[in-house]
Amino acid sequence: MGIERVALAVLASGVGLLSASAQAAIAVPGFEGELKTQIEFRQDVYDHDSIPFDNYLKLDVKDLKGNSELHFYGKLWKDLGYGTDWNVDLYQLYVEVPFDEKKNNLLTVGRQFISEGFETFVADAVRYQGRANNGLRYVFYLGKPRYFEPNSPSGDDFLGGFTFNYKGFFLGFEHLRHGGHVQKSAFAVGNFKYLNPKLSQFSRFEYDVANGKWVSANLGFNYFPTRRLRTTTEFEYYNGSYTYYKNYYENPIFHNFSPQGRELRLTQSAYYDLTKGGEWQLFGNYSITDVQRSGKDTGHLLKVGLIRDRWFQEGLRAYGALLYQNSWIGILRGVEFGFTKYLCRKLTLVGTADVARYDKITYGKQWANAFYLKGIYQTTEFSNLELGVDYRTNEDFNRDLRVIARFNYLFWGGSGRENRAEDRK
Amino acid sequence: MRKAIAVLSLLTAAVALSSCGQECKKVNYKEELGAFAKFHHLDHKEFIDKHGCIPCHKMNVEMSWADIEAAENGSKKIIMPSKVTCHYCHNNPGVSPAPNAPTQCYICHFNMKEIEPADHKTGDWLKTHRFAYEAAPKKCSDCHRQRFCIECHERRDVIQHRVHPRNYEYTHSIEAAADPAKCGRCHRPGFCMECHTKGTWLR
Repeated sequence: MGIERVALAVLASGVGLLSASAQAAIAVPGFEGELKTQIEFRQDVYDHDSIPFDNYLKLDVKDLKGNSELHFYGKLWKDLGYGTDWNVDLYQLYVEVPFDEKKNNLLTVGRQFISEGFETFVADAVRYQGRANNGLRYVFYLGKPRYFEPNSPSGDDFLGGFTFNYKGFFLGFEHLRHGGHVQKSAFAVGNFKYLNPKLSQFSRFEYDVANGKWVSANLGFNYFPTRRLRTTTEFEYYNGSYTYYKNYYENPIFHNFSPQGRELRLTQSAYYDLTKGGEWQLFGNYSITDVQRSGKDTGHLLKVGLIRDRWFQEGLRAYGALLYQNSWIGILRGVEFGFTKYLCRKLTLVGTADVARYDKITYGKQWANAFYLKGIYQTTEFSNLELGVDYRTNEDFNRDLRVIARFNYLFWGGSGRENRAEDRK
Repeated sequence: MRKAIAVLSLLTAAVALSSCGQECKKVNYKEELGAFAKFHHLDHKEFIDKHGCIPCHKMNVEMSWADIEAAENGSKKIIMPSKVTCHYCHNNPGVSPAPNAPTQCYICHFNMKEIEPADHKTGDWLKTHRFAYEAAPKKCSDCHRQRFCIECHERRDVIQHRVHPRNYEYTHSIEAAADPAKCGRCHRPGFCMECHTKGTWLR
């Protein structure tokens, strides 16, 4: 609970900085931030209206003592319709201390995003990043992961690891304790290399020593023969061993989808500029997956679409795509459409339409359609107001109407450090 | 509630359209949607007052006036600041001489698509970007700050749909059965259980 109070204090100081920016006489460090407030009115599943209300604040304070920085990102939210309590999700609250001018060697302390070649986490952690003269980059980190999805048991969670990067090669280790037991203690190696200017290759292999299993193996190629054509091919083996504990499955839902926790996948994707100026662009992505279960065990996912880009001619970008999904649960065929139209400096329109017809073994044939239209009104140069209407039909509703209002505000200011480099020139 | 929604929508649309006025009739898309459309000297007044024009408009190159056309073309290139000039202050962590220069790309780049690197347009970048990141993390941090990753990887927002279609709760089982590991890249098992066991999730 303590850290949530700290978050609220930072939230309050963010508002304070906002007002301080309007008073140039007050000397505060350089800062920049972003405020987002959004509310959605909706007809809900339970016959009474849900009204989620979210407030986000991002704040970076720079040039503190020793050229350090403070970073904050948090969410204050409640459901006004259901009358829930106010909640705080704190994604970032950390201090970054550099040990050199170019910030190659950094110590970060506090709640921060950890992504060092394994899963990604927000963790209350200490992280040190260094870079040697020969280009070797290394990172060590230690902390307690935090989860923002429901049903994520906490307690004695622990996260620790290290990473080395050198000339496109990667070596890492990560130990994760979650839910009262060790989920993984894994080593990973990988690379990303341009074999020639048109062809690059990437790979990654991860072995979990705690469970004695290969977690994943990836091998892929990017082939960009011309500026207009880009293709990617990837082979993958994946074993979700972290969902096991002492040889039983932690999650029966996951077990339904993949009883052995393993799958093999081949993905092929392509992107092609049909016209030189990029006014018509074609894209596609196809995956075939063997989910290692008995009976019908192959999944197919396909998306093929076309982009119409007339942004600099008439402020319009639109796309349309066909969807096909086939698995042992059912088949989906769908169409997607979307556009952005810049009307003028003050007003932009954004719209999407998702139409899907699916046939599931559980509920039979159904439609799931969603239409969304949003107007973005520029209130000042660095703030705007969005108003959207979302209309859906699906197996539960003949009509599910939602209205969304959002206000975005960007701010920065502060007098910075007293003796700035620009002043010394 | 439907009446309230309709009234709110109409009111907002009316205010937006009426305040738009003449501006919406005269749109120069090329000029307004270009990367540098948002540069204003007024925003940089404090800097210009202190340091003058030279830090951005380099004029230390001697030019021959014999060929007027070449001189004009040359001066446009030399005198007009390039992206390097802007990025020196706005995207130069740790080195920027202007500590309070904002670093968000979209302050100047109204059209983010315009500056999207070619390797992002592969049709599968959402999945394969991790390999590029693992090999050279600095390349990502040249443009993206840490919280850009958080937006998709950690933040959960039921109002703003960034990844899935708006009716996805009704169709996701087909995709999940076809490729269970795809879900596991962002969601932990407890996320599934919240609805499949209780049927409620307010967030």
